[in-house]
Amino acid sequence: MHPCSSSSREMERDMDMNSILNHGNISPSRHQLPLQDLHNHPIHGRAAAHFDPVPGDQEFLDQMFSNISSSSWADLHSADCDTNGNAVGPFGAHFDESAVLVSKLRQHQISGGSGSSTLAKALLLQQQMVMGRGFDSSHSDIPGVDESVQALYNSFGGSIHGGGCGGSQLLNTSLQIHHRQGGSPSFGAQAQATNPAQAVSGSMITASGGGGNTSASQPRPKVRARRGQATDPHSIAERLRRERIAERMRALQELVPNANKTDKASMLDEIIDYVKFLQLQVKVLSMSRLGGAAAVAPLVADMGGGGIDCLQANGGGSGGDGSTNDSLTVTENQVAKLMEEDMGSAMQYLQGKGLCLMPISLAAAISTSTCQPGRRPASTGDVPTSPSMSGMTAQSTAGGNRGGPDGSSSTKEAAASVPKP
Amino acid sequence: MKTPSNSIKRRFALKFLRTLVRIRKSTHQPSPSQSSTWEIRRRAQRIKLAAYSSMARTVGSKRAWSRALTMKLRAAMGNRPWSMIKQESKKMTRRKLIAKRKRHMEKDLNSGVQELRRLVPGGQWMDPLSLMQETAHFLRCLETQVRVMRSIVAEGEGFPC
Repeated sequence: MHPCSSSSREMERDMDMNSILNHGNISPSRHQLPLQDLHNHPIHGRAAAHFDPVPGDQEFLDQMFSNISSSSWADLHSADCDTNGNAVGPFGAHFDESAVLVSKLRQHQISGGSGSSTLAKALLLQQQMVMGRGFDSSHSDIPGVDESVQALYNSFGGSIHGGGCGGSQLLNTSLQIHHRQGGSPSFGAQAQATNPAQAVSGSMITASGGGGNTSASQPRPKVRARRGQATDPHSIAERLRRERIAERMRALQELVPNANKTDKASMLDEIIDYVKFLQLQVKVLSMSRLGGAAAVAPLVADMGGGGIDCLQANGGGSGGDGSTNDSLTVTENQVAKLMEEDMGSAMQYLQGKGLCLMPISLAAAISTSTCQPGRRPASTGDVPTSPSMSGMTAQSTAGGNRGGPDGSSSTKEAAASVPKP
Repeated sequence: MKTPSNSIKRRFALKFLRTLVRIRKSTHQPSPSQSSTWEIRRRAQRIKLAAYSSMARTVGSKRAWSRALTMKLRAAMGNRPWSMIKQESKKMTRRKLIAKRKRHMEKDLNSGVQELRRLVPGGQWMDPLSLMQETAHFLRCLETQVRVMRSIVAEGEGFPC
């Protein structure tokens, strides 16, 4: 029978849990960080943790522990931990629970949800891990486990504190509780008690009350209402649903480039605009793909046939340097045509060629300031430019060019005379 | 599961390029110098459909939006396998009823959600929760698509696109 807790083995278990979570979890990669931190944390000594447990948090603890005892300890009890030194076997059950809890925790972290729920989940998870390690360490080096547990709590406190709720207080409270209860005796007693969970929970409750004894108080059978929230199943379901929607909105918000979340409605509008923008880009790209952008020339009515032929050949093949005068005129005409129907696609088309529209004054200013015949204006965007930005640029320039076709064509000349890189 | 990875990019690029080659071959016979506006537009339309269809095929049937997109594309191009369509339409009618009832009940953020339903393929019969999930995946795939297409265009012309 292997001693179950050398420190390396603790690390292995952390790794196992990480891998299990990596496989089974959906959340984006940055939320893996808390556990990675866990894994990478060196197992150091006790960190100083000192806060006063907020008296009102006792209700949270109560509810949480009742939840724990009702649901999960059965599984833990059934799992036999001190058989053959198969570390994965008994830990499999623990890992499932903790995996579930950690995913829940992450979800709550993601949603940044109500502080109490995060607290509850965090403490739930802690409990799980404690008990997991408690079971395994029932006949081995308790201080080592204790320290690793401390490390876990530290990092967890750190990560959750980064989440921005006051949960770190409770976490460090529990840390301190374990500090107080010391090393081996309490752990050994708890591990071998029939209901170690309830013992620890009882002790945590009383310790949070201020005491330090390990009296095993039975957790209350029914769920007590959290502060400010009803236990009505409907409202709980509603709350859950709203949290899920908020979490998905957050995930969407990360995708969209312009991400200043003010409220849900405006965020939804941003998302809708972005989807429309991308679809428009696909449409324009499929148009410009017809043998190169220069080959959109046939759209222009007044081009000679020979010109079209040679441009087509050029664009169809490699066509790298289209900087002949013909293609410039073609570009201009093409842009004029596009501008008639849709400003957005005109901008897109120009962007695709590495050009942009700008008011004449600005172009003059740039060209005079740099003293070069054609310096490329630095306003081409890459793939996901925000649609509002590109729209505004077009509008500002279009506003500047309302002075008839002469103005617009000269502007385009200013822009189009830029040598392509 | 929400994020398409690099493999999707590669698979999509491959399929799309193949489709493009096919399109080019099919339209290269008539002399390109006399292609009218209408033909150009039609070709652009075909390319766009090819892009979306290759995207949907790359994603497969794993996502609701890809299934709905496949159905829609098949309907647009003229479809052969009728049995699948009948099954899907049956599922859709049932889902429609459920979704309608749900939509009556919830009034929150409705206008935005309506708009999203229009944009995302197959969004009309999804509940808002899964609609957002589908939108996330769809958004990522669209970005991939645009990136690949841009790089192809840039390749063909030598611009940084």
